[in-house]
Amino acid sequence: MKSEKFLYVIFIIFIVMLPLIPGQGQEVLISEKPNYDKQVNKWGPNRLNHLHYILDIGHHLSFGDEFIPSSIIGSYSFASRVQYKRKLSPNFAIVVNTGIEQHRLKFIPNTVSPISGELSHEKEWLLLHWSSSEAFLRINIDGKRGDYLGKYCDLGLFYNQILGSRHVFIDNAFEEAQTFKRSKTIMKGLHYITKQAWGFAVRIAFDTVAVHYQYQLSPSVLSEDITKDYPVHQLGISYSIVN
Amino acid sequence: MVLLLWIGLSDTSRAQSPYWVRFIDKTVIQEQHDPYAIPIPEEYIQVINNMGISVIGTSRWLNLAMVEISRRQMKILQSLPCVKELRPVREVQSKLAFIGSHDSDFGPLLDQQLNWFEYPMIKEKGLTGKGIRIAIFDGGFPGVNSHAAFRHLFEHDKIIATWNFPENSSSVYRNHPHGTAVLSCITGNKEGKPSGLAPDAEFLLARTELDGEPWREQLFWIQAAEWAEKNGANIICSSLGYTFHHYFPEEMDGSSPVAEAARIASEKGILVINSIGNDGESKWKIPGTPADAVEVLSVGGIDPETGLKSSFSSFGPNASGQMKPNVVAPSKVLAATRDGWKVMHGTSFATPLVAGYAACIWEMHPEMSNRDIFELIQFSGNLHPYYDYAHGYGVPQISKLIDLPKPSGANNLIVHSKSGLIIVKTRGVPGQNPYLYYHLSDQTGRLLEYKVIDVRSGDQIGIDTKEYPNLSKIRIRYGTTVKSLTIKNEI
Repeated sequence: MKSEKFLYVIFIIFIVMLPLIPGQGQEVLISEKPNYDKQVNKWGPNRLNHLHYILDIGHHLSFGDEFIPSSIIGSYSFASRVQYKRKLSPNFAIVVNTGIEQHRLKFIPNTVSPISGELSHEKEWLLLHWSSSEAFLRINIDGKRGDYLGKYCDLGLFYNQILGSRHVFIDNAFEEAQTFKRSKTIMKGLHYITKQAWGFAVRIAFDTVAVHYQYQLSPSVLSEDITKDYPVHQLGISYSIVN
Repeated sequence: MVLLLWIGLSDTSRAQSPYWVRFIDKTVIQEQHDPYAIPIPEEYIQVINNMGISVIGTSRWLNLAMVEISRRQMKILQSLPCVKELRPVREVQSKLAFIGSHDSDFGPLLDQQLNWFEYPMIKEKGLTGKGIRIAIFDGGFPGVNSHAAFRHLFEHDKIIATWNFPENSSSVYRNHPHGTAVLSCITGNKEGKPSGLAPDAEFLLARTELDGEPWREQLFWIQAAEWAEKNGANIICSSLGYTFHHYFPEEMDGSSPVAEAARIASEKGILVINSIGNDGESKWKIPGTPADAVEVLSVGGIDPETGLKSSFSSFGPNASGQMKPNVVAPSKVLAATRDGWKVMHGTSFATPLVAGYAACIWEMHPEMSNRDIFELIQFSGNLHPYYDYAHGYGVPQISKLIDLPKPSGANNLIVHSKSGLIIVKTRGVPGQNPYLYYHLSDQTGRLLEYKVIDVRSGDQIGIDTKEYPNLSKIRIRYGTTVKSLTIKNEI
């Protein structure tokens, strides 16, 4: 009985000590299967087909009296796109992309708002969400290159479909107001903003980094009561995420 | 405005692009005359110059010139009777196969980088690369003329010639310090201790790399090879490679102009040694050119601590399935900088270590040809006759080339084959290389699969061969023993 107990204690000690015994495992350090497939890959930055992501950051440029006066720094856009390229020749390709965009247009503070009638606001901006599509003809200057994007110019068109719109303004309280200091007003689903927009688009790129420019041909503001339109020029930088 | 400018630039009919112009075959006056020695006829160059095209450079070996031309000029050039072919020069950014490091703990590295080649035995034999002329192509050699590591080269007039191809001058002791580090891995000396195996070799130093206008570098490499041959080089040591910026992986079959020049250099009796590249962890993964050429001894890198392939060292084979790298060497070394010493990583430094070894072998067998030395270096690899596409034949070791008594009890492997299963049992002390290597090859010797496994003496491993092709061959290496089996699966 005593010896059984002793054996039991030994067994427990062995179980507890087991993880402390150094392992003698056989570790595979290198394992390779060489590929002799002579078939040329059809997918890649300078192959027949290419698919990749693009991130755009842009600014609205408001030139001229017919456009809503806006702050360049406060007015920006973000876009995330998936882009497909079909190579036609070493120098030419067709490119299409689709994605979503968010645009923010910040009005110059304390000026007469072209949207809110004769009122001026402490802060005021428009926030628009679009689903976006672009189609380009790509001209590659360095046609003779390896498997990378190279230096190119994309010339094409864009078409945007609205997903949502907001008009936001912040006002300081009137002097006699007792219960609040500032008020924020958000108006959604704006009926005076166009549901579709289109225009020209250009990209000038050095491999994964591009400068992009868009010129909107369609009017953005539809109401006759609003005297100024959304800026038509947009300039920004794009970054291609290529694996 | 910017747009118009861009469209103007992208007008491919006007834009100037670099091209190789290959001329019609040279007339060989006498049958025994070497066609590579005949210069390109002056009138060919004159015709091109008369078209308002400036010739950037020429190669008599490849019978070509590099020019910058528009599309219109291209069409006219193509119609010339002296022009055989026009080939575009791709956008080039050559890669110096090196990864910098700021480690200051040198430790035993200096001994380690030489002892892999069995330096004590090389020293005992008195081999120092004497009488062997090595040409180094690189980005510059700053500090070589002032660094204490190279004083002996100037004291004994070991630098035979220098040429700076981008600047067309003999001044090479400036620009990129990569060449300084490479040279030190052949002939450097740190406080009386050598950092390379060939302190008494002679040198031709060529600067072929530059920062701006990089596409010219291929031409400079070719011209440097011709220059090296003219100056009596026995060995070309190049730690350069051209990869994804200018080529597709399927083109890495030894067909690039640089690889072609390396092949001609080899035909002319020069042993061309080139680093395989540092793309083992990148998408590219395979050798760059000219390391892809069969005639080039391509050198991969190992970690000097473990003896296993360095993670960054590129894998073989080349695009035609030919074995690369051929051999490996330590790719973590202590190398000279402009004014000091630093630990550096890269296949760039494995390459000059092998070049130094090659100089010693050639000194030992001066009657041998470059091809014989190439074979001898492969034969002396510590894994030979085993090979794989990570290590080639392993690190060359001189004991294999010297008649030494064979170590007793070298049979470290027991291999049994039984109904689709190979049982491998390891035993004894494996020595310097404690890993089990095995590969599966087809009947032509091309590898289908290879592995390196960390095992202990007495371990047993089962290899299931049921899925392997019939008549394929398995080769297993452990310690100093290599065993081969042919797979005979029932069909």
